[in-house]
Amino acid sequence: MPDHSDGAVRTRRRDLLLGATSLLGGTALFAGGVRAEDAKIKMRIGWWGSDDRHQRTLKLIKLWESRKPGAVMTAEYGGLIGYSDKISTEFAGRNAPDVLQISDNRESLIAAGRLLRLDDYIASGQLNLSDANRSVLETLKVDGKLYSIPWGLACGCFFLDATVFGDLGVALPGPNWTWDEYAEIARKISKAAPKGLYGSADIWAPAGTRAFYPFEFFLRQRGKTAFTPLGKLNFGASELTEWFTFWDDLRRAGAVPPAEVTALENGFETSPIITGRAAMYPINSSIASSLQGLTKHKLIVMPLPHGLGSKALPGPQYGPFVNTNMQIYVNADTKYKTQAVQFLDDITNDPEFGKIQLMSRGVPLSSKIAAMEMPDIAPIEQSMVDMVQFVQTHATSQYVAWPKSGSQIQDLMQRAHQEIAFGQAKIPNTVSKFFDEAGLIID
Amino acid sequence: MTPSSISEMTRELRRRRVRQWRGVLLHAVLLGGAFCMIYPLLWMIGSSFKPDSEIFTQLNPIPKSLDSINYARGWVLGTGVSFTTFYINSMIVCAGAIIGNLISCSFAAYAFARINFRFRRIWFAVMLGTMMLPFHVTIVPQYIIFHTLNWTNTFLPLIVPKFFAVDAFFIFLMVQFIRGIPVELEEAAMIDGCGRFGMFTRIILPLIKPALVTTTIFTFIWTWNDFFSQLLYLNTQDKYTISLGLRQFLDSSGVSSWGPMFAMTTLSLVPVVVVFIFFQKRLVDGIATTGLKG
Amino acid sequence: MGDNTAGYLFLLPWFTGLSLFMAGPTLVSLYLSFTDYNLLDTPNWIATQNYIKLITQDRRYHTALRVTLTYVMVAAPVNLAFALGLAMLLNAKIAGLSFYRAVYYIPSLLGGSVAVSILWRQIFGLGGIVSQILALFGIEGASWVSTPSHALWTLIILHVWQFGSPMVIFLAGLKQVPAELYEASSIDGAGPWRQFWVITLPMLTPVIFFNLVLQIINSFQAFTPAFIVSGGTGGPLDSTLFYTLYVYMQGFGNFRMGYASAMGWILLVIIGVVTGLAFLSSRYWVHYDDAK
Repeated sequence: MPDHSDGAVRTRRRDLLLGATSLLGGTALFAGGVRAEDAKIKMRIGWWGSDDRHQRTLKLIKLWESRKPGAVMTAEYGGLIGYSDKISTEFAGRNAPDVLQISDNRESLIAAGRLLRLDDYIASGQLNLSDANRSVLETLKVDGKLYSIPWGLACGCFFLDATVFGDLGVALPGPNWTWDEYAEIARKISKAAPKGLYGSADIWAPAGTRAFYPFEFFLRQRGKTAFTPLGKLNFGASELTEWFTFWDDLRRAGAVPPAEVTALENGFETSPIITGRAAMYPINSSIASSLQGLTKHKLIVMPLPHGLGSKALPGPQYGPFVNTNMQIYVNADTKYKTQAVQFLDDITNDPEFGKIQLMSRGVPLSSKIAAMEMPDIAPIEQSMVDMVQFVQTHATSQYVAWPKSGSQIQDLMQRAHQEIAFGQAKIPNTVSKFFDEAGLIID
Repeated sequence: MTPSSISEMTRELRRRRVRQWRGVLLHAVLLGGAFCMIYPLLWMIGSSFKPDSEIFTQLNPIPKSLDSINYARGWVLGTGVSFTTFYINSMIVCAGAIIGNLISCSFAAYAFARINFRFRRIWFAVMLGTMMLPFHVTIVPQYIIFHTLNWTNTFLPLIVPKFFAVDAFFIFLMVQFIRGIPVELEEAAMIDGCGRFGMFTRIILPLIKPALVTTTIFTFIWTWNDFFSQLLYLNTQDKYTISLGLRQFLDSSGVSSWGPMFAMTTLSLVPVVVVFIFFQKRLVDGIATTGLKG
Repeated sequence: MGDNTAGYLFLLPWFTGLSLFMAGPTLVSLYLSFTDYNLLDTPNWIATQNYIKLITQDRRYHTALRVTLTYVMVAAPVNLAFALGLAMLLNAKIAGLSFYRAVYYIPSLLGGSVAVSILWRQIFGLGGIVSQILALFGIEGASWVSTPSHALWTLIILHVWQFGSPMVIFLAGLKQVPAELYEASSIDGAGPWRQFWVITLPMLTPVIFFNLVLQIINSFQAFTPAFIVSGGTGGPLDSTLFYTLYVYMQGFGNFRMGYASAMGWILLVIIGVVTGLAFLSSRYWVHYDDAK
């Protein structure tokens, strides 16, 4: 049973620790006393990230523990490299943390019943999602059920180098831009810029995962989805050909770099927008502040272009949707389901938690918390919030979750793009090969 | 002085000059090679003094200014955990692994190299076979064993197996070295009434010192750099080692701290280089004095 | 004490380790290779389906085999040649020996560091150092590390560059050659070249053999270089898709651990056969002093 009254129950020691962070504004009251059931709580929480996120998350844990004297939440965290392998092994050995962040293979874990279904807790009010955008929650559901909440919202987007736009006298687009306008701008920049600087980065990158979502957005703009509810592909050769041709034309026109330049990227640190080779760069918005930290140029965040050709299509035909890779889950094996769900609720709705986290994992799920944080954040993050809110208010059409093989289809897409970009196959061959191999994967 | 002895002298002089030139040439080649070898290190040290925004935009390895902020930011992380802990933990794991490997692998190697027991060839093949399966396919069952033993988040999975000769590499290395020692020595000792164990400790072990030194160097370096098994079995920061600490700076979706990562990588190389230099000296003055063979 | 008792007593630690930590996981992985194990659900027996699929259908698997074989055949011998050559040079009495040895070992220390991934791009990438040097001679460079036809070669160079470990083993081996042999042959009037062929090389054969076998095993299992440099993708266009990288992708990336196990066991057989051949050949060229 959730008991929000113990929000006031804190120990002196915890207060000192929290006071030192000076983020809590000294609202704490001393009430002493350890509740027997809290003292027995020994939970584990796992996440990945870098120093900034670690610091903030540890503060969240301290705040949470201070409200449950005696309870312990052990932090198991590190960098991204190897994180998902470790988590997978722990799941295989039935020793995964009670609460955890997962970025890969959630579909498999859900299918195997390893992640806690949250719907009952939402219904009973233990998890309050009333300040969250409906369309966002819809995109997270698997077979109509919710297993995770976003620990910060993000979306596939374009980063634009406003400095380059300014220097070359190219007008910045608005969030309503269409694919045709995008292509036009990319061409214009390539023409005006010195040799070696291209209008935009290509849509595929060797180490990125950005090849599939943009295509999914593109499909939705054509009234399609990537997958059927049964996990089959829900698009045909014509859509795929159109997509590949769009990018191939840009490549031939020199609006996006040739393949060997794109393949140089190994993570966004080495992306063309940082190495000064492109003025626009498609990737997930969650990296906004770190991307900005790597360059002295001013960056802004723009949603992916929409529309069919030059026509901007509103309503159900709006392609992009908010998709976040920072989601938090509860291990179905946990002994502390109530407490785990309560932690999820706290990080979603509690203003004190919000003040600690800010935008470290993306835009807060609760619109109230997001609005509260706006004055405290950097310009690039404000630009990110604007974009995410633009997308979540425009995205209305039904979303179909990926099947277990989704990530393999994404890999396939990546390689198909590369084949064309490196000139190793003609588009029609690549398209038919794509469907052949996808057939093998999905069976 | 006869003409022939004069021509002999000029020939000698010429030979000496050729030798000198050859020495200069040798050093020129070695130094040139050394530059190629060490360039990445120089580049990394250079990067460790750069702000993040310069690391990827400037190809020039020499930083514009020497700023040691990355070292300060890297050593004590924002979370309060410091590399002091990581160094101590790495040292513990390395020491355990070295002792374990030296003892257990030399025992096994002696048996394989010198004792003619039944099924020796088969067990030797099995031993080599343990190196041939890619480790990714045994990770999960191995994890389950250590989890069942309740050893996760301790150093035990990283140290205990070393006492049971799981590193076939070192067994095989020592086997090769033992087989290079003439058997006559042991035959003589056997006549003097020396038992198996005595022969092993008094004759074999001193003679395979180069192999033992090599084992020490490699175990240290590989354990120091090992990432995956340490990641798998160590969960909390108080148990973290250097290689886990170093990966902590990177985050594909957030604020990576490349500068501190390079700074700490540079520092993490110091013990390894020291160990290498110290022990490779042992390699040099190793066996030459024992005068066997021949 | 009989040979059997003594042998098994000395092997006791190894046997314990084998049965406690190695035999179980190994046999389990063999079993799993005949199942559809996905890390999370109880595995179902599917007989040889994984193997059949690998051999007859999986084009990426064939790519991985091809990439790995090229790597083994080129990188292993070149690496050994460098290691032996440098070990010979650094075994001589020249000034600054310790310095050279340490410096030549440094690349091997950096092995799995993330720094290498960035470094390799800055050396072999567009406008990288190699291109800049070639430009001095009027040759136009390319972005080798990101071109499918060249990327593997940059990894081969990476491997050759890290010849420190076999070099150290060669050095240790050279130390075991007794000085008396050289003295005796000097008196007989043998020059350094002849000494190399008659003394050094034969005395070194057990160590050469060791390094050869190790290079075969290790380069078949090469994982870290491709993982680091390609960011775990084996790209561009699968041109650096090493065998074990594909095992890892299938096992941990796609949760197809049964399939990955089958791949692992095929690799074991391949390495086993090649190593076996090396052992057979060793009778003809490896010189042991314990031969009775």
